[in-house]
Amino acid sequence: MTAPSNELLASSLGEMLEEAAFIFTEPQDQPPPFQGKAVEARIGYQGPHTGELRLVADAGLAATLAANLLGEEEGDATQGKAGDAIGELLNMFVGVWVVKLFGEQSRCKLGVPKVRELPAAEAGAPVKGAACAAHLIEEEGRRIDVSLTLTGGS
Amino acid sequence: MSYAILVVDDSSIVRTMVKKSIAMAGLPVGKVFEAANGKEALEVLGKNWIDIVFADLNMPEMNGTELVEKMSQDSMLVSTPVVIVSSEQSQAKIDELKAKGIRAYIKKPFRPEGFRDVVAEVLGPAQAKGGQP
Repeated sequence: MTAPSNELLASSLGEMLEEAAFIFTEPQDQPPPFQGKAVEARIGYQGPHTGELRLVADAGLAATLAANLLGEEEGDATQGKAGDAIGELLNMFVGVWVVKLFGEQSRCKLGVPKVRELPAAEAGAPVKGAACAAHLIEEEGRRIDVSLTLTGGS
Repeated sequence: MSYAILVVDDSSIVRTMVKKSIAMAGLPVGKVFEAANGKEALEVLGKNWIDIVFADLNMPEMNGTELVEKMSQDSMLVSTPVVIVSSEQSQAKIDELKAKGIRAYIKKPFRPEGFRDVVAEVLGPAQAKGGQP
């Protein structure tokens, strides 16, 4: 079993963004504030420990993610899909995350992503009680955060 | 001959990604049905002939495992091939689903080539022409 860490969160999310959506990011300790609206997704999992992962992305980055997942230019075909895209990114991420922590033979229950829009000030606030967290910045300077809150043992 | 397919996922983005990947796999597709969960999928399966089902696991209302179990208990649906397309990476879970009768498993994130290989495995090599000139 691998212990969760800020570095593991950052590298795992970076790899997922590259592989799934061709979005290239770098971790940053002191990220710029969110601008305008952001999109948040949360998903729970139960395994050797119980946790909740949270992603928060700049709304513009979420729209780019939707376009890249669909293989479309941003526009009519991707309109209104930003929340769905962040939810699906987190859904893919949690599957990889629990295997990195617990191994391929582990039995985990994965939840269903819950998504909402939120204002920039709330998006950038630190998550209370987070066990680990990371901030990533993509090529155009837009921000995506990931954090893990442990909610109990198995 | 063209195939009727059913794509089951609570994410509209994923349903679109799956449909695109199937088209790129070269499968001669006729009708494409969509459902957002297992319950909706059973309704579609009850009203339409479906040749192959691509289903997610973690969905609200009725998840993919429950859908597979319901289909295996229905004499009209037991032989309909089900391919699971999910973010779950656990080999233990995949083995459990194969024991329940799923025909193949595609891990998210996926690439179109993955669908081509699976279509060939499930429906026969002649149906998967993607990548050929």
